[in-house]
Amino acid sequence: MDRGQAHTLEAIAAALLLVTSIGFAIQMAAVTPLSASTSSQHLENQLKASAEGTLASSAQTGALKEAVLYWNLSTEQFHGAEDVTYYRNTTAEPSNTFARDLNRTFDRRNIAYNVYVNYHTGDGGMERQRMLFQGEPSDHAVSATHTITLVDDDHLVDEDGSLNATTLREASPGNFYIPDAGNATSGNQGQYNQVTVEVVAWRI
Amino acid sequence: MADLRRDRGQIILIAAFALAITFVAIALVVNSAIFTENLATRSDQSDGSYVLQTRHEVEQNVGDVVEYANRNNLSALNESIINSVQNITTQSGLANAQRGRVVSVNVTEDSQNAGERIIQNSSANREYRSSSRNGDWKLASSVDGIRAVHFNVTDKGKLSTSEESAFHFVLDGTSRNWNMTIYKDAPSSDDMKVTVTNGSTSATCTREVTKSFFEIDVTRGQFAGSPCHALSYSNGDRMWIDGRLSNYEVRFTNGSQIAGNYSMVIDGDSLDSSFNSTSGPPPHNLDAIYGLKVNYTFETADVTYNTSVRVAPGEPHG
Repeated sequence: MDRGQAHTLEAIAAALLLVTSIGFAIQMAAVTPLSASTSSQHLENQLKASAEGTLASSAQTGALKEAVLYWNLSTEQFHGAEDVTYYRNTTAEPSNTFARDLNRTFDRRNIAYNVYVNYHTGDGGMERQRMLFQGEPSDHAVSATHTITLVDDDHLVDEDGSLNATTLREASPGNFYIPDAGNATSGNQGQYNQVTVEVVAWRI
Repeated sequence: MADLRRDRGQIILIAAFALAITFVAIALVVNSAIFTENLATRSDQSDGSYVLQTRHEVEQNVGDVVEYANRNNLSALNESIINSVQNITTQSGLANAQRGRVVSVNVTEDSQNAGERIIQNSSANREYRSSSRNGDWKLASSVDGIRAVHFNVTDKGKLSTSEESAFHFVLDGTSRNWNMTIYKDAPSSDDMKVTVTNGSTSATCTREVTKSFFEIDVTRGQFAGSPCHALSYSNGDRMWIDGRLSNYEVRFTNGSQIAGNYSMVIDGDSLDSSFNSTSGPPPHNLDAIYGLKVNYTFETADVTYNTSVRVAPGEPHG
């Protein structure tokens, strides 16, 4: 009689031991290349380097500035964006070189990315405009930035990539998303705004 | 018998205990391997790459405002650039402060290097002739620096089909020459060609141009919108001018074999008298800033970096 009870208790204790140790072991390790843990640091470094490289080469060829100025003044949104001011799914992708570069760099590798434009408001603040939004980044997303300067006689860019006749100076305030943050008191001096383009990328 | 049965229950417990220890041990080993890998691949924590990236961005951003001032022929070139650089300092300072870095850029008037911008900007498919309508002419002499050389060929039908009689852009130095020729393959062909001869090496790029115009950005190495090896490197040989070319003349030959616009900025103001002889019609020249030096400071908790950055947008790196 008490031998049966002892067996039961011992079995329960053994089961508990096994289950807790397996649980502990799973909690400790269990890292795959996709999981958001420190162990995928190497992949994150590579992703960050890819994003930085894409930004730097686009800035060098002028494609980055073109993408920032790829704006429809009458509808007050990026050319071809649906409903909102920015691109948020793959059916409404911007047809400019920067978007194609990002697409070639990331899409085939199953990497999602958001692009933001951070600009100065002129009164000491900064605002952020979404350019391309594919979703909320996961917690192992990486971010890369590049800063470019807009000047007063930069032209807005038409949907087909050619220059619009309207320069930033002529665009009426409010229709273009970036305001003139250059120092207006000294007149025609050129600098319009310094914008930081940020790419946030993560594996899906 | 009774003793044996009691033992069996304990064996289960002991086996479970041993298994549990094994699992935890395996987890420890696996985890330490992961931690080692993480340590090994952790990127440089010292912000070193940001220092250089920001420096590069500063160079580009200041370059943009210099080009603006030159392009718009502002009367107060120096003050305009100083004001714009102040704006850049304020704005990049603010953007970097949000990331825990201090960035400061400043420029002084005496660090600016005056130059001359040579430009033909006519809407009428004007040939690359001098103002006195010579096809072979000299733009400037004793030049030590040239940058932002840009040709916009608006009438490709005008181009010659033979390399010898085509338009040449020549930088004629004391011991070396640099020569660029723009021509096309055949009278009705869309294949445009650029041949560059640097000293004794030469290379040719061919691009199919379906529009009636195309552009050549010589110092960026772009021909009809794509990179051209004849303007950068060909078989390991550097094709653009370098430090070995100095004190040279800038000349056009067969300027009647090409039409469109062009612009370039030369160091100094040693324009040739033939160029300057007629006022009014294109081509003309404008005062410009050739280059300048800005003082760049970058600070974080770990890094302090201070250097002087030379800005001359579109200048080939020698």
